[in-house]
Amino acid sequence: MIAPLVLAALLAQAPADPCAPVKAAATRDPEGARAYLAVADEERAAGREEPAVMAYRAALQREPGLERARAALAQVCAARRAAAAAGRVEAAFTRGLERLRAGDCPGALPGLEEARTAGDTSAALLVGLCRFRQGEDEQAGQAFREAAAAPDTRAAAELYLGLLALRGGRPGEAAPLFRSATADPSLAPVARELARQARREGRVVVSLLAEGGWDSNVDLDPADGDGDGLAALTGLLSVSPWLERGPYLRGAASVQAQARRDEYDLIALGAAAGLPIGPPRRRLLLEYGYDDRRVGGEPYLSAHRVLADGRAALDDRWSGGAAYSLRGERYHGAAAADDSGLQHAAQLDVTAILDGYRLTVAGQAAWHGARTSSRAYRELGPLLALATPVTARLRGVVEVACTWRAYQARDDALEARRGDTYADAAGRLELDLTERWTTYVSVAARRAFSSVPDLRYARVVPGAGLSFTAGVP
Amino acid sequence: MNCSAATVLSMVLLAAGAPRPGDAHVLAGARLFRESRFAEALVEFRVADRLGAVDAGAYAAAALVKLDRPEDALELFEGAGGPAPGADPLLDYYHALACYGARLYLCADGLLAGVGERTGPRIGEQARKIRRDIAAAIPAPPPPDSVDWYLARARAHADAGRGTLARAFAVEARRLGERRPDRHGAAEAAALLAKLTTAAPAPTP
Repeated sequence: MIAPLVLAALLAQAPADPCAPVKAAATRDPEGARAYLAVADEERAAGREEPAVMAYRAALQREPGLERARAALAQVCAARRAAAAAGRVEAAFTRGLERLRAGDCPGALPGLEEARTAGDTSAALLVGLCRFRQGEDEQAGQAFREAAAAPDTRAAAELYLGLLALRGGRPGEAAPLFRSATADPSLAPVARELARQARREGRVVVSLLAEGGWDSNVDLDPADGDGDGLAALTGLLSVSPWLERGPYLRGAASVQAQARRDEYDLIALGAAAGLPIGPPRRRLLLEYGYDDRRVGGEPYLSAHRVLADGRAALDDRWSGGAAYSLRGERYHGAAAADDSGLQHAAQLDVTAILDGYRLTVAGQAAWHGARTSSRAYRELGPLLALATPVTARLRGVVEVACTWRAYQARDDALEARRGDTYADAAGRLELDLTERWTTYVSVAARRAFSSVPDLRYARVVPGAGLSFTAGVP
Repeated sequence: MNCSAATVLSMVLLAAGAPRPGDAHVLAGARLFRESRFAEALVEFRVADRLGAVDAGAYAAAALVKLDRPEDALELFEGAGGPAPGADPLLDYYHALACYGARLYLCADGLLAGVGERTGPRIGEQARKIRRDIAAAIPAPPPPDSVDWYLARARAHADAGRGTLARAFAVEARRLGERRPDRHGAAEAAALLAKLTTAAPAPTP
């Protein structure tokens, strides 16, 4: 009964690593080796890897020259190592993905990079996404190009490469990438709309807008007023040699004709020059603008304006914005000239993008320093806006606001110190007909309450329009 | 198999007179089993089985239970040459664990009912606990979905050529179906069993 003890002792000395080199027993036992080999093959065939490895080792201990056992053990061990390596890569990927889902891109990158190094194109895609979010466009591009090499991740990678191209001021490069990304049915709607946007972006962008509508109360009469139809034609030209990354010029001209009340016909001209500073996630926009308006064929208003508008991303969903504008307004004509003066306006907002829907909650304030104190006022109020995803072919936005306005001094003509409250609501539904043509319907409504009964009114302006926008890369 | 079981096994073999070719491997397997080195124990028992050692297949099945391969273990317990239920309470206990692991709860319950106190207080207590768990797990009557699930598993095993497992699942389905007033699935299970028995007769204990 010595043999079992020897055998047990041998087995007890089995190394922790079942794939370590096999140490031969002191005496050969070819018959026993064959029995172990048969068991090993059966265990392997049954999918029981660990007993198979043990049995192959036991066979080789008894007969080191048993090549079939050696080859089989090598195969099993190679498969185990590959599986272990794959497991490590999988674990690294999972770690990274979990951090990414938690919104922690810096924390996600080490795991994702490890998986990417092992050739995982899904990891490359997610690395690109993180780099993209962090504004590391060059590294993001490298990762997306890796991901684009694999069929499974090609479409998504091309989508992001397109976004990178847009961000990098290369809309001409972006459009074909977006089109290619439409190959993936799940991405196709977004990719198509991004392709449309790319076609509408460029260093020179021209827009033409024709619209018609109805103004229920043209003269803001408290007794329901006088309704009138209107038609307008607007042209916009934007020149931005560096796209979103550098200074730009913008000009707009609009002609609006009333159907009956031509004393309210409007011609508006405007021009602006601006400079964006900083990356998209933390951007400040400085702009100077000039506006000129003629009403009823007569000069009505000319205004110089400076604007500082900043926005910072708080995380991937939330951002905060602050804007301030100073506008020097000069009203023409005896009736309006007293309104001339400086207007300060500011807005603070918090904006969230939730499942593509953009929700903005803002507070607005203004101080209008009209040269006649009875026309000067301060106003304050909240604003709430909700917009559907911008990448959808059919888009909508609704906005509601309330403004409380207090005038600085008594108005002798009105025999009162005026105080107004405005309740505003507006909605707009846009449908892209083609890559360059869009149609829309809109409605805007205001209810004005005032301490002066004659200044209370209600107004509704429904409208519809058709626009054409084209960009030159 | 616990420590004392392995010791008893060694003593039985030592007392049995002249050693047979597989006995050394059974002993080695028992020792490895006791040391919780179940993969190596399985190999030793399988080698012993090849060399003709009595019950080595059942010991291998016990090792498979420990390796969390209950269906593989069932194939040894219930296949040709498997131990007859009731012959060895310890093997019945492992056989029951294999049934339990494969979700064959009635199979497990029946075996555990026969184990009683014959294996000692620790296993006896464990057997009673498992039976309580099974009683709580199987509603009366069992839902038809459960019966269908066992039938589906039986058919899947039959299609995969694992006749022993197919029979075990068909028996479970039939017994569950018979517990329902409408005997849902019982006839199908019986028909499947008949077909399986015709294709490959079950071993006679």
